[in-house]
Order: sequence, then structure tokens, then C-alpha cells
Amino acid sequence: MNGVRVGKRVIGADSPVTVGWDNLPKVEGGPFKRMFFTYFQPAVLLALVLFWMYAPDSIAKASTAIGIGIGFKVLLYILEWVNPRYKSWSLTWKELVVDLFYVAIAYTLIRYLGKNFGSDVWAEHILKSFDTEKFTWFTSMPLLVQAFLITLFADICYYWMHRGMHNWYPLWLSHSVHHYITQLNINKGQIGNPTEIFLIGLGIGGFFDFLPRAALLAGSLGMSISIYQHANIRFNTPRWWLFLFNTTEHHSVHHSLDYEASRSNYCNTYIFLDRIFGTCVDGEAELLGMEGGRRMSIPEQMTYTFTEGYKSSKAFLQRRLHPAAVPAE
Amino acid sequence: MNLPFIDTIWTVRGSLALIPPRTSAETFAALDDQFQADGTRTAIDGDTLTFRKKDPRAQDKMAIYRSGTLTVEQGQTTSRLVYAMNSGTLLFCFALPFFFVAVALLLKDAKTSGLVFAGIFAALYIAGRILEPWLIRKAFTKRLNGEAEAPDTAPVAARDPGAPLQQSAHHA
Repeated sequence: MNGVRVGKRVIGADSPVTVGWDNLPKVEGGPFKRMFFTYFQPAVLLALVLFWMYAPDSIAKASTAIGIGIGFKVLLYILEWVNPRYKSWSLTWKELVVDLFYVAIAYTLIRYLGKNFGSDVWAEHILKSFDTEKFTWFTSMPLLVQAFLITLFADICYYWMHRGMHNWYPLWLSHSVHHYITQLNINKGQIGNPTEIFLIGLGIGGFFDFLPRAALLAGSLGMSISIYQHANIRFNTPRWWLFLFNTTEHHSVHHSLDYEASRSNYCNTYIFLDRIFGTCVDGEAELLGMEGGRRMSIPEQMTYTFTEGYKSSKAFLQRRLHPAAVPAE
Repeated sequence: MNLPFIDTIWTVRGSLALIPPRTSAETFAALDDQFQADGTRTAIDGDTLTFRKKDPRAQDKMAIYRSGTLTVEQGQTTSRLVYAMNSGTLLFCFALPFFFVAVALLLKDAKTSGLVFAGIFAALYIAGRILEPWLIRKAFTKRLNGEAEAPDTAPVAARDPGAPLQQSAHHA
């Protein structure tokens, strides 16, 4: 397999990756279906932006956002069933149980940890001694600009955290478990070692609680853009959307079995960050995972970070303490 | 270990008539594709096929099963396939509602979410316990009898899939 040169890298040398937009499969079916799956993503984004900008305070609350989030996920489940991107990523009963187990862990144990030991605690302490007067320049900007800047700042933090996970071994130990997923669907973003789910949850969200409407709008921007990255739905994604935002297409490349392809598309929301930092690969991949697509069991997912960390540390110490015992290569 | 009734939580049992009657060799040959999957080991001893799976692929039709046995029983003019298979996933899903109820009771911040997920997993277990035996029976029927639905045979005595199987009186 020769692969395709993208900048200084060769993509697809280990496993097939479609590079570029022109070769991507299109939505098949009648004109309504094609139109629906072409404009669905922009329409949802527009609808949510309008809702959070103009809805009265009586309904523009966090509980409404949670309700919309759950309803939207149910809708995406239906779309995965109606128009899957790949049959080989189809949801099975076992995959659903495993996925929802991780979702449940995230909503209960990890959320509890985050609330009591994570960034929410730091945010609460910082906000107590925070002079909001000094942020008048920010709060005087249009609501949509505030929300965009919040998501942009959050995504820059996410980008570097994620890129760090792929380049610094201790963080990779935590993140690698997520890369053993062999198919994408709407809940796959939650699959991983709990240490990673905690780390990736360390964000800046809590720092913007003093701007409730902007924070909710930012949350809906994130949801209506980044939620698709793990979805098994075939869209005719518009080119301008592909240029600006992270998509399933981009994220499937990131999860590809191909090593070089997996070291691309690190952002969560704005793919133009990857374009700016030189890590964007436009394309799509069907074959995903690590070690030839080996599927990890839940016990291994839970322990891999620690067992591999122990093995690596032991080997490192042996090399340092008994260098002569290590055979020369 | 024989745990009648309790092991119904994680064990799928069934039988189907082979139409037309087949020998065990013919039956296992027809099912061979079903077991040609990554992480699957099989052994055939007379009229019994034993399998064991480790980390099966997501799209493996038998991904929920960890191990099991399939036996071809021969009558005077008929034959039938009898199977008993263990599922770690069914057991895991069965245990999850208890786990998340415990989480709801122990963590004051997770009461609602813990109980909601406990309910979801209880519903998922019931759905899976009905769906997965139906799917595997459908898959076996399709491979052995074509599209024709095989009539269910007489109830099979509870059997521990891990225990040695009784040999059929009539070998092909």
C-alpha cells in the first residue's frame, strides 16, 4: 500500500484512507433524502443558535439544554439507523450496552469526580475572587461573538491536550484505549479509560458560569458541531462546513488503522485549528482501531492504562539500573 | 458448575430440527462460516462442537457469547441441533442495574442519573435476553435449513455448557 502524500506525510500506507473530498461516497436516495442529509447539520446549528439567542429566560435554562441534548441524541440514533455511513459500523445490542455503560459512568462517577476534584472546583474558587467588572469588554460584545470566543478558547485548550495525548507517552497511555474502538457511533466519544474521560473533561466550562446565556449558547454551538464526529451517519456535508468544522469524515481519519492518519485532526469543534497548526487531513476512513482492529474488552479498557504503565515503568527502570542486562539491538 | 435457572441469566439454550436430517459432520461444516471469526477457537469431538471466544469483533454475529457447545442428536429418522452458550455480556448487563442503583445510593450527586441508567440497563437486559437468542436461532436456521424456519424441538434438559456432553446414542 503506497498511501497519498499530504504535506510532508504519507497517509494511508498502513490501512486504506480516502484523502480529499471528491472520492467520498454520497447520500443515495430520492431528492428529499439527499436534501435532508445535505442541510441537516447547518439547519440544526442555525435553529439552536436562534433558540439560545432569542428564547425567553424562563425557558433558556440548563435543564432545557439537557433535554435538547437527550432528544437530539435520540434523533441521531434514528438517523444512524436510517442512513448509516458504513454497515460495518452498525450498532449491535452488545455495542449499545458497552457504549451506554461508558455514558453512564461519565454521567455518574466521572461527573462526581469532576464536580468535587476537577476543573469545576478550580473554577468555583477562582470565580469567588473574580472581579467581573474587568470583563465588561467581553460581556459588552454581541452574544454570538461571546459564545464563539468561549468555544474557540475551549477548543484551543482541547486541541493541545489531545495533541499532547498523542505525543507524550504518559498521556498516550490514558488516551490509547479510546483508539481501540473499531467503529464509530453517537456514543463512541465516551469510550476510553476513565482517567482519560476525567482528563478530557478538565475544561474551562465552569469559568463562564457568570455568563449563563453565553455559556448555554456556547454549549449548543459545541453540541451542534462536534456531536457528529463519532456519528455513523452519511451526510453530504457542505464544503464550507468541512472547511470550518470537525466532522465524522475528519474524525474517522483520526481513528484510522493507519498510523500517520491517526496523528491528525485533533480538534473537537473547529477543524480550521488543525489547518492552522498543520495537522489537518481531509478525508475519510472505514477501517478503524489499533493492532489490526483488535477489539478491547471492558476489563482491559479499564486496566490497560495502568498495566501498560507498570510494564513501561518497569522496563524503563531496568534499562536505567541494569543497562548491561538489556540485549543490544 | 450446574446452576439451573440462575444460569438462564447468562446462558442461551435452544434446539432446532435439521431438515433434512444431517450428520454432525455435515452440520458443523454448514455452520463453519459462523465460527470463522477473529478470536474464535473451536474443537469438534464426535457429535459435539465446543467454541470459545476472546475479544470478538464488534460485527461478529456471535460477539455476545464467550463459550458454548453445539451437539447434533440423532433419532431414528430425524436429527436436531442442541446448543447452550454462555454470554458474558448478558451477565454484565444483568449486573449493571444493581451497580448503578448502588451508585445512586452512595453518591448524593448521582441519584437521578444513577437510577435512570439502572432503569435503562434493566430494559436493555430484557431486550437483549429476548433479541439475542432469536438472532442466533435465526442465523443457525438460515445456515442449516436455508430460509425455512425450523420447528422448535422438545425442551432440552438444562445443561452446563462447560460440563462434558453426553454422547448421542446414534452416531452418523
